[in-house]
Order: sequence, then structure tokens, then C-alpha cells
Amino acid sequence: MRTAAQYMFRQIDDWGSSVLRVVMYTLNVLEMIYLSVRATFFDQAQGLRTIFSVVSAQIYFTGFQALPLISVLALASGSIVIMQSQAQLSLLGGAEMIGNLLVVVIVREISPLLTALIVIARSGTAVASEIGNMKVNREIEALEVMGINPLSYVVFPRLVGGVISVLCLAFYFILVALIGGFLVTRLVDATPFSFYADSLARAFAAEDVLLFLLKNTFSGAIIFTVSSYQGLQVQRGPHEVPQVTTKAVVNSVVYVTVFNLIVTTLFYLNELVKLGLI
Amino acid sequence: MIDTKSIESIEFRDLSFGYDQTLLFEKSNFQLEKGKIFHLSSASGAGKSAVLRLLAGLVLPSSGEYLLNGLSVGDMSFEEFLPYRLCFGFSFDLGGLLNNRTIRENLTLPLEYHKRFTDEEIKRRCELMLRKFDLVAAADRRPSSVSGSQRKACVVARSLIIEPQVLLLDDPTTGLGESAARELVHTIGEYVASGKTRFVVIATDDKAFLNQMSVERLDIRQGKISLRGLEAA
Repeated sequence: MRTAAQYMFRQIDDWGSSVLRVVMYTLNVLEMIYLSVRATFFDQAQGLRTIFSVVSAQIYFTGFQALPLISVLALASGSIVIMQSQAQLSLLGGAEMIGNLLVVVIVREISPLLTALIVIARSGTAVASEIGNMKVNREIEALEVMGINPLSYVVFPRLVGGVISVLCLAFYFILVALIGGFLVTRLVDATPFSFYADSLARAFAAEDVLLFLLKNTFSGAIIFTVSSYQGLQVQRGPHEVPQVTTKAVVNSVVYVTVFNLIVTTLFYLNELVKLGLI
Repeated sequence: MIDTKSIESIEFRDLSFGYDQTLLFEKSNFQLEKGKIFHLSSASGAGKSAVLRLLAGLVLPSSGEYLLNGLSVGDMSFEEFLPYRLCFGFSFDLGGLLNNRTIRENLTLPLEYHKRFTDEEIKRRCELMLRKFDLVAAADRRPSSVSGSQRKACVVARSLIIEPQVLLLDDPTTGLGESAARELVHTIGEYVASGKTRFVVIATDDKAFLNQMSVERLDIRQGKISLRGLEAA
């Protein structure tokens, strides 16, 4: 029979193994980013023209084709947040704070997170299954035989195209949520646009741009590296493709949300330090 | 542009290889002779494709050495192996075509990517292969919308389009049309006679195809790879 001490050591052992697995996985993914960038720019293979045609295709599939879905979600979430904020702030007598609230909720938090989740659902799955199928169909081996590094031909363009797409989609999300959301709200509320625009303009700060770039660039990089990495893990056959696709989605969601949480926490800690509260 | 290397010798030294702890062959030694065509023969699943994948540098030996010009491939990085790799033509037994590129783009990719040839030369070689392997009508279609024999012909044609120093063909005639198979025999003969192709290794069980060439046998038997000399036609 297992003693309490044995049980405790076993638990610690399991936790340690889990932490090690996460650390190793993260290091492998980071190594793949490094190797794909290195292979693209520093190796002798000079197929940059071919690589950038894949980048533009990735931007089309991830960025352009996601616009209708992003529009619907941005409009809906923008309208909801604006309506709720106006109602609550009017009750509290702080209607002019609407801009600050929207910048915090939509620009800093909802836009990066929802955009990332949509891109994971649409393109992360597509990239993982596409690369998985490429492994099964020996397309990856065929590239190697032709002297084309799969990291520069397959991974790098998806990474660059993905980051550009996420940045553009997040910006588009903010525009639609703030402007479209206001227009929808006008159906039930008579707040003048000049008042709303003035409140928003006063609320935007330089750190919002930094936060926007930081969150969206890294979210894009995380989604497309994790998805590509999972796709390349297919070894034996087509039955592995759905498994790696599911893993790509789960890991991307976890990494993106944890990253957003860390950035937000650090940002607000910094704000508290600036205010002298810590 | 990348300078390719001239491949003078290919050798397996004490080479062992296997998948998932199971060895397919062990401590095998052989050296391929220049200008000859080798028929890789074995029982089904005994490691023909594995030998071709080793020769192409797609997998590394479990132990021992694979030497190109006396240099161990296992010690080379992707970039160091690249000048050799560009001298290899490899035809897969199954798959191997990029599904998001047309038949023409699949053929031109190895020529365009490394900028080793002018646009005119790429076009000339591509049109020649399309005509030889009867792929003109399918040239602008993607692999998923052409017949199996056209897909196979494209894989074979892509291995030949670079006029490789080392030609590795894995089951090249399975699924290949009769006229395309004749053209393959003719092209191999032409490349070997002109000295463009120095080493040819073919894994196949197609006797009719092999009988059209003078081949030497490379056997995988009881976990060993050995040269058996000239094969009787």
C-alpha cells in the first residue's frame, strides 16, 4: 500500500514532469521560429520571391477571408459594450468616461483576444491540418529532396502572413466595434457622435499603440508557430491529422490567453507603480 | 545562386538503419560504381524505400556512415548538404506532389527556387518534360484534378528535369502509363550515356521495365545490403 509520503512525492514528480513538458514544448516552438527565420534570410537558398508569394496567399486566406466573420463579431461586441457602458455610466453620472471604458475593454482586451480566437478557429486549424496532410502526402519530403527547406518555404511565410493578418484584423475589429457599434447604439440611444468621438480621442494614449502591437504581433506569432509545429509532428499517417489539429487549437488558445493575461497584468502593475500605489 | 558539387562516389560504410527499434539492415557496406544502373531488390517491406531515402539524405543512418565523395552526410547541416542535394533526382512511390501548385509549377519549382537556371531554360526544360510524359493537357491543373498516371508521370518527370547526377526512383512504373514508362527508359539511357547522370538506383519489381536496361543488382537479404553484379535480362 502506498504511504502518504510516497503519494506526495509521486504528485510532485507528476507536476515536475508536466512543467518540464511545457517548458520543452515552448523551447521547441521557439527554436522553430529561430530556425525558420534563419533558414529564410541567412541560408544560401534564395527563393525569396517564391516565399513571398506564399506570404501573400496566407494574408489572403487568414486576413481577407476572415473579414465577414470579424465584422459580425466586432459589430455585435462593440454594440453590446457601448450599450451597457452608456447605460451604467449614465446612471453613475460619468457619461463622458465612455471613451476610457471602451479603450480599456475593446482596444486593449476584447479586440486582441477575440481576433486571436477567430484566427485560431479559422486559420490555426487550417494550417495545422494543411501541414499535417503535407507530411502524409510526402510534400514536406519532396521539398527537402528539391533542396527547399520546409521551414523557410512552409513555416516562415505562414508565420509572417499570420502576424500581418492578425495585426490588420485586430485594427479592423477596433474600427468596426467602435464606429459600427456606436451607429447600432444610435438606434436606441441619442448620444451625439461628436461627444462620443471626443471622449474616445481623449482616452487614447501612446501605450495603447504599444499594447496593440505587442499583443497582436505575439498572438499571431504564437498561433502560426504552434499550428505549424503541430502539423509537422505528424509521423505515421492521416489518422494523426485531426489529433494534431486539436492539439494546435488547444495549445494556441492556452498560450494566447496566458500571454494576454501576462501582458495585461504587467501593464496594470506598471500603471500602479506610476501612480505610486505600489 | 548555389554552386552544386560534383558527386564522384557514393558509399555505405558499416551502415545500419531501422524504424522504431526494428533494424531493416545492419553493418552494410557497398560502393556504387559510376555510370551504372542499380536495381534495388528485396522482399516487400525489407527496406528498398529506406535505402533510397537514406541515399537522398531524407533520413540518417542508425549507425555507420553514408559517404558522399568520402564525406559523412550525417555530419552535414541542411546547408552543407544542399550543394549535393541539388544533384539528386528523387521519384516517390506514392505522393510527393505539392497539391497547391499546378503540374507545371511542380515541375518548375526545383529549377526556379534556387535560381540556377534562366527563365528561358526553365521554360525549355519544362515544355520538354511535359511533351515527353504526355502532360501538356494537364499542365495547368492541380494534382488533385488529374489522373493517377499523370500524377505519377509528373513525379518521375520532376526527378528528371534537373538532369540529376544521382537518380533515385522508387517504384517508378507503378501507375505509370506504357508510353511514359518507355520514355523513362529512354531518358535514363540518354542521361547515363551523356554522363549527366552518374548513379541510378531503381527500386522496382517490374521485370519488363528492368529488362529494357542493363542493370546491376543491389540486394537486401537477411538484413544486409550487397552487390550481386550484372542482372540477367
